Amino acid sequence: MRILIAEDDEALSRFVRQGLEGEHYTVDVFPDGEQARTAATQFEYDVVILDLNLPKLDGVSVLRHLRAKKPSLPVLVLTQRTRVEDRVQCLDTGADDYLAKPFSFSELSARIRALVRRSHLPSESVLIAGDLKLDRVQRMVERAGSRIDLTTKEFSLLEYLLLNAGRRVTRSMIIEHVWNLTFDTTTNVVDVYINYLRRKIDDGHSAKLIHTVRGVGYELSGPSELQASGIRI
Amino acid sequence: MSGAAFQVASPGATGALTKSRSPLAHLLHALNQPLTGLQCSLELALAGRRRPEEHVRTLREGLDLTERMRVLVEAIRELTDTQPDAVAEEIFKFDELLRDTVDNLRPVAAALGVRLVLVSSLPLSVKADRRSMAALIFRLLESALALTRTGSDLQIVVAPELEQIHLVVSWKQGATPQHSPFSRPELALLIAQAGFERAGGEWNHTLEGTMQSCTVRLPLTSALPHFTFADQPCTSGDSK
Repeated sequence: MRILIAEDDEALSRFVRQGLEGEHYTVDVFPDGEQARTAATQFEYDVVILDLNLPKLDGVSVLRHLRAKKPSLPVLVLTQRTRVEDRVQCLDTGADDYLAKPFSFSELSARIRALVRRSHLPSESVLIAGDLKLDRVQRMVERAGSRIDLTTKEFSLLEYLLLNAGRRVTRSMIIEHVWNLTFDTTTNVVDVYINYLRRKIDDGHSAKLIHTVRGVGYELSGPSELQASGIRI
Repeated sequence: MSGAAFQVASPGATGALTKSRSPLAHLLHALNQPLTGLQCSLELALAGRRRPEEHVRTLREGLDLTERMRVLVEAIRELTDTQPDAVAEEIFKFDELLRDTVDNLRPVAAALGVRLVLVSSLPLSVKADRRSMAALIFRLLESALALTRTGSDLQIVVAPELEQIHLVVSWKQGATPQHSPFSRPELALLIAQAGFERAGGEWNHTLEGTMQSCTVRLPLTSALPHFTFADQPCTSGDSK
């Protein structure tokens, strides 16, 4: 797995590079937008980590170029800005995800894994993990053939976990995608909802699907890989 | 940051930050504490011979201090945000948005042993940026919830008052949170205050005995044609 980092802060790019190499990614770092654009166009990368404030050519221009040339290449944008509007603008420009500085390495790492997975997954209407089935069109959930009633928020949470099945997701990622909020929450809202979901999904089953990843967040993984029903949205 | 954002001199969690200096000055001052701790900790770790377990402890402390600084920097950034909001105004029912948020927080309230009581007048249509308003309401209620004493009520009352929406959130103070008055919920309240004021609202935060209360008045000038006075107030409480 090869990752391009476009970041002009030498110390930051060095730390990120060390961390990602420790996770067995191959990493190339470019300190300005021009070099990053050229490299991303010429070579094959699995993910691009793009700082918005780059010298010579700004990150937004690099992003626009990449979307035109390589529309399916996952791009994670790093920025100083955290406002909802900035995030929306970023995603509208073509970023696949967005991470505001300062960030923790585990947060970055989890987001990269989610991006890589997403880029290899087709959109499916039915998500399956082990004996758990979630129908995104019918909005129905079953485990071992028994129907499970979920609230709207519980359904969205389970859907997000299933879309990232086999990968850890952080609380921040959950808050962003399920609650549509871009700030740190002051309560354990995610943990509370996970507990509700656990009671409905895992209680009474010997194989537990929802796992806590200490210090990071949660992971949904079943005995078998996430499968798709073949019914496309 | 609007000029009015830090002119409220009121008692209470955020009030404690507004007596003599701006909250921003207080936050910058508060930032010095973990920064100094981190610097000293690292200097001592480099200077002296330490056992491996002491180094591990230093690193853990360093990580905690860094997280503390991140929270403060984030708060400073939100409070000093001077960019105008890219408002996507739409007409929506404020009371429904409030009810959705309350319902969303009921499981959290139950876990904290707090009863959420919503007294709402229906309908209260408003024209505003719905997403920003949803985030502000969530932030206000969630912070208040985190500060409420276990076993007591968090009361949320929304009603029309002249040409404004009048939202009052009141609670009995719980235990003083860690890092008070710069704890996460207190900072979140401060940010909510700035957000409501930036959106053209008025904010007042009071403390009477152990009861805290945040009052938000939202101007409905642009939404006046859609504003409807309530027939009957509707109360709902849940200790689920």
